Amino acid sequence: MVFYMKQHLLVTRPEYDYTTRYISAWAKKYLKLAEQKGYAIIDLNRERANRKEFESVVKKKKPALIILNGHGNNNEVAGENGETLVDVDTNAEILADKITYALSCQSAKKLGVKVGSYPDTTYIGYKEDFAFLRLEKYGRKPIEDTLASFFLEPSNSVVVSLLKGHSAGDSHSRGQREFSKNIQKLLTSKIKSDDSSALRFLIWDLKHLTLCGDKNKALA
Amino acid sequence: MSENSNDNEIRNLVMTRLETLPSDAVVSLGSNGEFTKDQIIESVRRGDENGKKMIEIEMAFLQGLKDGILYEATSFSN
Repeated sequence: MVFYMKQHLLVTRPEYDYTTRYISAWAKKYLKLAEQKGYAIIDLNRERANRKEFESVVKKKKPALIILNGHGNNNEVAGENGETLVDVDTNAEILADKITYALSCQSAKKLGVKVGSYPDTTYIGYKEDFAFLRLEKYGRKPIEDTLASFFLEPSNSVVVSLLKGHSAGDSHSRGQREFSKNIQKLLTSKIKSDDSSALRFLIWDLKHLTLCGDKNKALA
Repeated sequence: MSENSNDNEIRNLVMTRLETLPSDAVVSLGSNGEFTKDQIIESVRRGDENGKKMIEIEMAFLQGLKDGILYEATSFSN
C-alpha cells in the first residue's frame, strides 16, 4: 500500500483594517485552487494570525508553501493587529527550505534577502510598499471591487503559478506579466479614464515585486 | 531655480495629477494607512510622510515615462 502525504500550505489572513480585509478576501480565490490541487491548508485567519500559532504550525507541519498576507516593513511581516509573525533578527530561519510569498510592504528589502540566503529557499515579496486603490463603496464586498482587482489579481497570479507547479522564477515572472497586462489594458481607450489613475501604483508594484533566493525551487 | 521652488513645483504637479483619482477611491499605502483622495492630496500639500511617499510614487512613474518604463511594462506582457 502506498501512503500519500498531502503537502501543507500555510496562509496568514489577518483582518483588522480595510487593507488586511481586502487582501484576506482575495486570498480565498487561490485557496479554492489549492484545495482542488490536494493541499492541506492551514489558514491562520484573524486572531489565529499570531506569532505563537504561526511558529508552532510551521515547525509541526513543515508547509512547502507559506503565504503571508499582512502589514510589514523592511524587517518583518505582521499578523493580526500588527503582531510580528516573522522578523529578520529573531525567527527568519523558520522560513528556510520553503517557498514564501509575502503580500506585504517592504519585506523583500531585508527580511526577504536574509530568508533567500538560506539553501533551497525562496522568498517572493515587495521591496517597497504594496500600494493599491480600492473603491469606498466595495468596503464590505472586496471581491467585487474592479479597481482593486487590477492589483490583487496579479498578486494572486504568483501563488496560482506556484500551485500549478511552476518554478519560483517563472511564478515571479508571471506576476510581473500580469501587472504589465493590466498596465497595458489601462493604456487602451476601452478602459474608463477613472481607472487609468491606477497606472502609477501598478508601475510601482511591478517595479518592486522581487524574488530572493532559489529561482528554480518549485512545489513538488 | 531654488531647491525650495523646485519642491513646490513638484508638489503642485503631484497634487494636480492626483485630481484624476476617482472621487470615491481610497489609496492604500500599506502600513502607512489608507487615504481618501482629499486626504492624500492634503498630505502632499502638507509634505508629511504619506505625502512624501505619494510624491515618490508619482515621481517614479513620471521618471519611468521618461525612461520608457511603459514600453518595458508592455513588452513584459507580450
